[in-house]
Amino acid sequence: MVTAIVIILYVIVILLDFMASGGSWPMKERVVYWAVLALSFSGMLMASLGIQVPGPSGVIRNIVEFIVPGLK
Amino acid sequence: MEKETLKLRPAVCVKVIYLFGSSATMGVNFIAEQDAWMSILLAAIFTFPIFMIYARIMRLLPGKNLFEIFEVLFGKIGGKVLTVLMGWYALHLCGMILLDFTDFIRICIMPETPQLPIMIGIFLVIAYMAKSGVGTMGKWSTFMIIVTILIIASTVLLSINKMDFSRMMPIFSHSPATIAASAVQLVVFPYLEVVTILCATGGMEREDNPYKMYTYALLAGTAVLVTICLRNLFVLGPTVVDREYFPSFIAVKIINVGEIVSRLEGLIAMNFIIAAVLKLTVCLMGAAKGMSHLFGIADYKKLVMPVGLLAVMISTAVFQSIMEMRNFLPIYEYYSIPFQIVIPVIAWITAEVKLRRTKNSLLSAGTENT
Repeated sequence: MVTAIVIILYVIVILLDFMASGGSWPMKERVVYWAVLALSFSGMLMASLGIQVPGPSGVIRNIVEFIVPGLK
Repeated sequence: MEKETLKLRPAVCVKVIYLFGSSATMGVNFIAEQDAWMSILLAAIFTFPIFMIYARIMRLLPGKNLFEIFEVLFGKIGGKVLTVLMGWYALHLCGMILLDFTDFIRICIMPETPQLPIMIGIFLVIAYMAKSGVGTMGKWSTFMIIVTILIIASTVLLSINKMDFSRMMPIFSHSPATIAASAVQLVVFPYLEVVTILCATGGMEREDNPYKMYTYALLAGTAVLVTICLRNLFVLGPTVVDREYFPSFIAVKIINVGEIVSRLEGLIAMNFIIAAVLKLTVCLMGAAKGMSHLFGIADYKKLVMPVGLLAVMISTAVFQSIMEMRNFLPIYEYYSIPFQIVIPVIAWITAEVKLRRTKNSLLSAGTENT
């Protein structure tokens, strides 16, 4: 069900946001738009299927703990 | 890039709502327990000089957002590096607030509903607002601040019969070091998160005074935070406030005036929705402007939808539970310092030096001509 919601959301975004005005955009803008959209779609699809996507918190925690060792 | 500025009143309203955003339900940092109100006042004092630096940046380079300022000050490559950093901060903050917000809805209001559809619903609202632009957000805030202040005032008045003022005692039971440590946490969250507004808006109208704007916002925001803190303290007591994830929600839940006026926690949820929508919109605008600036896209509104969806994706991955998010707070204190203090201070010093050099060279050119 959640996966269906995600897919429907992306179809709506493409139809109402990109198709409505994106046809006339320069190539660079289209590439950036589709790249970011594809990245978010892959992450959200995995999240909807219950696959845990690694988040940025672990990396941030490691960096901060490396700089401030007393936090461990 | 599109110029989007705010007038004095909307700018103050945006900042005030932004300041008490998460505190509307989560309450305020309660390490200092009954002395937490002192921590808030101390945090406001600590925040003031940093706010003046933000105001000075706006004064030196009026009408420009932070990303444009970076490019003017540090050139193309330096500007892009700082744009990536600040854009990431805005995006990450957007993801964290979104998770916090949906956690609140899932835990307190709709426990059976999966989190992702709630996130998507909120995303559609904030994407619409971000696409409407800074002016619309300012007008919306000017109206919504009245609603939120009325809600807070009414919850305070209606909970007077549940208040035990002795819960404030003993005053100064915590060491100055504990109160100061709590104040530092408050400076980082929520006070200096206001830096994302510098990314999202192109400053203020030229005739308005940014120092005045930041001072008013700080005073009003602090007044609201102290009110929320004292209401929660008087109604629940320090131990319960410290243990609850959403103390404001619980404090208002127990309001019962003559068996007629009760179950008012919906008001707190409403306040949180208003504040969270604004906070998320600011972060989304900041992230979209950062990305559009990075890739040289003139209109940031074209990237609002994909960047917003990226923020939703980040919020699904950022933390596994609300406990993990709470445990991240000590890390967040250090993580946010470069974005909230270091980068703006470097930008401010560079702007002062560059503008002084430009003035001096213009003056010397003028004397040579005469």
